[in-house]
Amino acid sequence: MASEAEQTVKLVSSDNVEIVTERKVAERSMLIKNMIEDLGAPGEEPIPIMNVSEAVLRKVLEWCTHHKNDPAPSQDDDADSRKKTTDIEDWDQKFMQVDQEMLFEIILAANYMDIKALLDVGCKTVANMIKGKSPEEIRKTFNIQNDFTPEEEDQIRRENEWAEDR
Amino acid sequence: MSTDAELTMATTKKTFMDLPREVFLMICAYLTPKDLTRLAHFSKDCYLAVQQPLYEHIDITAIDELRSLVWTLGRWSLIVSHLSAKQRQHWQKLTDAQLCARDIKKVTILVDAATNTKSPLVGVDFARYIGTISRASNNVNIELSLHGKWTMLLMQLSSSTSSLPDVKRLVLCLGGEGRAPVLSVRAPNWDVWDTCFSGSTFPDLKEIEIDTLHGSPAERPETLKAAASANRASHISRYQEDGAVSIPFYGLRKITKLSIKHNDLLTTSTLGNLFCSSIIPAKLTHLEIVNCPMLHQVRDYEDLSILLQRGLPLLQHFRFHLQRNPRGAEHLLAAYYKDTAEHPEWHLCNVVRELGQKIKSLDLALPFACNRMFVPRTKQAPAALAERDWPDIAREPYETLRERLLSAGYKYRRLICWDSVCGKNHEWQDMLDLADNQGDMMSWEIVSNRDKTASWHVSGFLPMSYKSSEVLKRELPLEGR
Repeated sequence: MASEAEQTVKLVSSDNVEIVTERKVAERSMLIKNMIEDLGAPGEEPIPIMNVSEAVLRKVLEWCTHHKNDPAPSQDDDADSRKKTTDIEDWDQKFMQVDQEMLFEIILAANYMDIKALLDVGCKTVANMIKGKSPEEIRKTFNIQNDFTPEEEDQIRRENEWAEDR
Repeated sequence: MSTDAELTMATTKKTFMDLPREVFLMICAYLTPKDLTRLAHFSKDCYLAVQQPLYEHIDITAIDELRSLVWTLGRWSLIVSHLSAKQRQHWQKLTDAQLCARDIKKVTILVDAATNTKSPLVGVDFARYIGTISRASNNVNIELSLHGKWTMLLMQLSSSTSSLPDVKRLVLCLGGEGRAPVLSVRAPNWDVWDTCFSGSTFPDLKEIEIDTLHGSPAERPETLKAAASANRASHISRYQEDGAVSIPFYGLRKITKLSIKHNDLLTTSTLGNLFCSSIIPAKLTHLEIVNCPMLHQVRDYEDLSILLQRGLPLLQHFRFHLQRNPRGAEHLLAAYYKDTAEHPEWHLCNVVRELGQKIKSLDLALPFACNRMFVPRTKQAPAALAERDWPDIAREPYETLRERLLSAGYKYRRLICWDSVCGKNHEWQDMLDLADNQGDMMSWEIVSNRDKTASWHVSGFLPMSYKSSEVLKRELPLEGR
């Protein structure tokens, strides 16, 4: 029998494509890790990843492969709901240089597959797209229409004065 | 991980407003309040969506910001009251009422008098502002820091019938450049202790820090030695103990952490009111009395002894740092010999030894200390040195040593002796030998300023020796000053 390090697992994407990967890589996902533990026979039964297409799943597995030897995440981050830094390491920054559609698909997949570190990187990437920009620039970045009247905009400005210049 | 995830995955074209609510909140956690207010301008759905993260933890650093916040909280309703049908598809489980609720969990207010000169603050208005925040959310946690000349404000608060509900942590740094003269701080019929501890002005107070010599923690001396030398202990009281009748400190019953640092208003009569009245600070677990120049080990011998007798059995963490003796006060040692000989029951070292065995963390800095502080060596032979080794907990980073020892189950002890060993015929070497054998899971660090030596003793391990300057001249982190 193969050692745990050599074991592979079969994942099936939402568009029904089978992808074989190392168990260690796949187990960066807590969803898959728990499913493997429940199934008890890794490699034999294909594991359906219902909500993730082949293209996104391959991208997620690329990230998992690069980070397969990372230490387990600590709980410290959860202590303060307001995070201090949006720094992203170089490899992850390059990894996240994808179109917006793919970026949000990766975030959704990380959320669904329970890969906290990837989800954090995705959230930081979106936060960096918003940081320091005016509302108009944010609308332009995300291609969304302004649905406020000028009066409503004035009211919001007055309402949020306490948080300006921070 | 997500409950909304499957629904959201079913759609095709995505923007960040299509993400599940919990993911949207994770993104918001990386944004500043200013970024969040810009998001509020982004679209009506986004305006509603950011209300919770924008108001969850509020930081206020100027009076004008506080006034603006209070104006906003006083408004009846939000500009947008419900999600669009499209957004509702993504966040089905969230009601409009939940989105509209500005559930404020924590408000941190730090105002510096020096930078708030344009808009004077009056006590009654300030109480109203705090009241508005308190009413806006159930059980909000307000942390209030007043830096600089806020004496008049505190006097107004004290004399009015208004209270500041939900202020659970209060930091007062009332000194600094242009500090109000102390005598005006001690105006007739008012003193800072009554305001803080009567339970009327701050009825929900749990943690308090009071410094009267600096305008902010950053202004405090950077090393232990500088802090102990800056305002040396005054042998003669600068103020007469006026015998003014204080309001009973009922507020003390709720206090869990009390920190009195660099405070020249702390006299033994205040200590008496704090710890020797019928009001028992039953919830107090952390006490810091640090660098208060009106306390003197010789003059206040009995009062300090009573403080230790009351405090040691009650507390889990006690930091008690007295100032160094004034220069040219060698006669004080002889006086202390005499006092300790006449009243050994008040000898601080005896009290620490007898009552300080259970406390988790004890950090002492005293002009005089001696080997009576330690439990005498038992007749049982110590473990053979050959079997011992260096402590398995690294000494560095020193700033976290205490926490690391405590979390590993050790009891933490540090003794800094500024001037002299106080027992006749006692030598520093005797203390080293005893510190080595104070029972299991005990860590003692002892530092002699006079002999310029220090050592760290962990039961079962070889002691480590180093220069006292490694401790006394090491730059303290801001929170440790």
